[in-house]
Amino acid sequence: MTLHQLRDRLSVIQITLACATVLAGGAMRWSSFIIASGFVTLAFYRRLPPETSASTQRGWTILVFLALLASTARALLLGELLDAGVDFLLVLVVQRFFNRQRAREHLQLLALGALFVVIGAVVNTGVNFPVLFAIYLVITCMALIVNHLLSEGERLGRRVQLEVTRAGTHSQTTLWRASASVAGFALVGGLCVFLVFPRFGVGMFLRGAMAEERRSGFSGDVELGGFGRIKTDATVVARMRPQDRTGLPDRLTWYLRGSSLDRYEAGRWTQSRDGEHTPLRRVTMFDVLAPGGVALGRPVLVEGGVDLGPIPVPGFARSTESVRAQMILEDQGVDVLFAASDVIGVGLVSRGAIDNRNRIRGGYNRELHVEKLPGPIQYEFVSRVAMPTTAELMAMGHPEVNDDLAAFLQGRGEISPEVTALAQRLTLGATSRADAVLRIIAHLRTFQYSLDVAEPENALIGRDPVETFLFETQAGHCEYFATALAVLLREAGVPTRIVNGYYGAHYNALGDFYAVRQSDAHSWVEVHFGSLGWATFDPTPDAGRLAGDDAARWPALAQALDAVRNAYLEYVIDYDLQKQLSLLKGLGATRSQQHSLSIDWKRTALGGGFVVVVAGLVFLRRYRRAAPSRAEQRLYARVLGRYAALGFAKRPSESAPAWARRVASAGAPGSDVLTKFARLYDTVRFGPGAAAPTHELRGLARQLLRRR
Amino acid sequence: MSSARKPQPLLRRLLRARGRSLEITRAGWLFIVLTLTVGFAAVNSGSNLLHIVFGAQMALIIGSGALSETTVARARARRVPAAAIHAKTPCPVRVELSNADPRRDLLSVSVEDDDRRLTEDRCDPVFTVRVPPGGRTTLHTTVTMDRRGRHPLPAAVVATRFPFGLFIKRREVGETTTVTVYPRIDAVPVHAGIDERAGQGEASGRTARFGEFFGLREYRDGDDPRRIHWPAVARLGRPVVREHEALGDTEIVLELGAGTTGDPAFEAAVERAASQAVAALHEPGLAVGLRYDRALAIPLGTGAQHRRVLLEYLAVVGEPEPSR
Repeated sequence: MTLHQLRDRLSVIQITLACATVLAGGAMRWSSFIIASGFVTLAFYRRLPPETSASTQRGWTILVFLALLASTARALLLGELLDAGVDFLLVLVVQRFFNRQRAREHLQLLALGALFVVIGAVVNTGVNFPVLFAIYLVITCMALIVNHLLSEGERLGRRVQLEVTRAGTHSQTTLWRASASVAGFALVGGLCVFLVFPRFGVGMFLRGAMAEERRSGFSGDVELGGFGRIKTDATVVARMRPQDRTGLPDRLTWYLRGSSLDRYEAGRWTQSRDGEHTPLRRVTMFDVLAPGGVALGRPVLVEGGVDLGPIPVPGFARSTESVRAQMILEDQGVDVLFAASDVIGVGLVSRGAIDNRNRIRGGYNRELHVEKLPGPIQYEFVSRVAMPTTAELMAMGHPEVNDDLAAFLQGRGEISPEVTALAQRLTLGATSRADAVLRIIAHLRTFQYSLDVAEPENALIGRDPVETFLFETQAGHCEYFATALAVLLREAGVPTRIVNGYYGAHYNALGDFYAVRQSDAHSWVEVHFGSLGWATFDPTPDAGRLAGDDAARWPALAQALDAVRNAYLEYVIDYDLQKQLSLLKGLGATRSQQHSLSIDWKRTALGGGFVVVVAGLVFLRRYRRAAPSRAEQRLYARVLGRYAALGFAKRPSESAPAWARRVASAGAPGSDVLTKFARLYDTVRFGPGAAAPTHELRGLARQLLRRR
Repeated sequence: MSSARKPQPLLRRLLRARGRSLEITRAGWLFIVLTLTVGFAAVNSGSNLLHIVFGAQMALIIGSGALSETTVARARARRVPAAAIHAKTPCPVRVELSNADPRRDLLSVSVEDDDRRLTEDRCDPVFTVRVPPGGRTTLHTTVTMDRRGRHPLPAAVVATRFPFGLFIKRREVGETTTVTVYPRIDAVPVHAGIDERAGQGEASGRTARFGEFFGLREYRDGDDPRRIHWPAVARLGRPVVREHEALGDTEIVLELGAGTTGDPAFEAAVERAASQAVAALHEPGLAVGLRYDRALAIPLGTGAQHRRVLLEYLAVVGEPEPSR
């Protein structure tokens, strides 16, 4: 491969890798990437003219100008700043690929690649980024070196150009080695800055959220249908670490509550704002849900010395049991936080100055919302996960429904007489509210769980999807089951609301955390039980509830990847000033009360000494590998180096005596000693037996090296 | 007023130590601006990945500087004239470039003129992609000297933009070769000088006992034993004698009026005389001499050696006597 061909290929590879970092971060549309790839392929395989004609150049300039105008308009009018910017950069890439005759154009392509990588660093929090970045760095270093060589040819004229093309083509292994070394050095540099550069996070010019990604229906507006994809998607959306794992199964069955909706109309759930308003009360380190029988009471250890836990609820024996867990939630494009039901308190675990700007607030129906910048968020929650027993619920009878709960009876009698009749038939003779709930659930459990629910044709003639589910298909996924239960209970005069979230999590032994997957997305129902508060009921058959458990095609591999991703989030993405200080503390530097830095010199010296010894060993190993192993060879190499510096380098074809003769004939200093040295070296190195006098050779070498 | 020079900053002194210089290319400026922007974005946002990118870019800048420094530090270069050098004429020069490091390759090095020196003399740059560890390479280029006389070849620097072309690192090549620059030779018709032939001398192409060395021939009876060429006898194993080219049948003594180096009229006259001398010496059997300021400066002679003597004289003629 010639140097020009290599440069072309490296340009394509580096720009592809750079685009991949953005693509994986979700900030580049696949359609844009595919279109740009098509044009780049065309540019790559077409015959490149020696020079772009003036008319073609004008055409490209007009095209770029139009693209700039379109991008500006798109950014200003549609607010798609990032998308418009990325698409414009792709236009520039295509333009450069069609006109890449000189080194300058390739350098511009490299600059465009660098811009894509910077964008990727901002939007891509996946483990793929460091991998792509490492490969990109090696390729880019090589591309820069090759481009530099060819630019020297352009600068110094045709003669040098030919020499560069000839010699460069034959020295590609050496060039690859050089680029790998430089890339390695750059990676170490990046790592050092990453580890020790203080995270200020001053936050100038930062405004609002940038990336928006809708993964599932956790917004305040959910339409029936659309869970099929989620149930087969094994992507991890959150990682959870309970404070105490004792007794917890590998398949955790907590209901991780997200959005809660109370208004149902024509197959669509929304939030009415007439429901239960639940602001948060600030306790040190924690935001506490005020109402609902939650208060400071039973000791649950919270950092900062605050004990937080549920107060006892009469008639609910396990009401004082609680769990505490830390959660890392991936950016879902929605502001809802997930916590095990029934949540008592929640607190952000800040990762620095920017995270300190995040705010949690309470919403309606005990929803938790967060105002935050893009990227994963880390928080802790304390929850009461135990549910009242059936007997305890039965004992509540038919609790009174006061006016405050009117929002949770919305839609009663409005869907159709058939639904009302069904609800009445199912709950006829129910001894308690719990009995009514269980009767309806028993009816629904006879239905079939299915993700393949066709778009209800009856919706076209105005029939509610829940009617279709109840009377025609009798098959659906959790949203249908939950909606049916909520609607039927409301028809029976029982206050209900629907909740969307995740059903439990899967223990990852490698990473020691519970992974919540997209396939665990679930819907269930909360029913009001008077003084016991809201109780969770799940009408979905067990098979459906756990349908997403086998979403991962290779579970062991998925688990390993989850563990890597978690470690990456924990130690790379979430690496912050606190962790830096911990690292410094580990190295022996501590900050006193007066903010002065005190250093434990003993430990620092020990650590530093260890690093020096390791570095020394690595260097020695490399040196030994590179340097000749025998003493006489080492001496010979030193003498060769000294004479090369004087302009008497040995030619590859010369033996030591021949080289010494040539040096002597050129009148170099010390040629008599050199001649002796060369003869002796030949004897020591290649002569028979081991009686050769190495010490004499050393003496001669010393004389030669001492000369100025 | 004090004439004390303002001390230069330490960084500049370090960068310029031992004849080195550092220049940032346009690509280098672009890269630095991009790095600083990423650095600002990293500090501003606290984004860890941006810190990694920023660190890698900083390391590339530092690594680039370190690599170019080691490259120029271990490169040794020497310019050697490959033929006679005439003023204002591109003449061949050999550049010997060696790698003083016995273990590592020397990559992407050029030997160029030191453009900080104000001189009209120019040597075309040479470039090599790779010199193996401890190895040497010979590159060929041309030098154009502005004036005749004894002058050093243009000051050279070993330069590199390795590895990325972001910076240009240069180091002066300490050793400069002083060369005799002959006057410029123009193609002139030989008749211009033949008018002044004196009509004395021997036939051209004939061999003689004295004159320019012509060649060797077998020893014949009657040959003067003093003409036996003993080294050749030893080598060939049979007796051979030296032959010399006889002086020409015709002669020309060129006239050059007195003048001083640098005077345009005198310089033109010197170039004319040199051109005529060279043209005349190409003519078979024509002996050429030179009279300067009416005195015979170079006696009549023929052949390449005589040509060199003539040109060397013309190279320095008119230069002021060195003061004692």
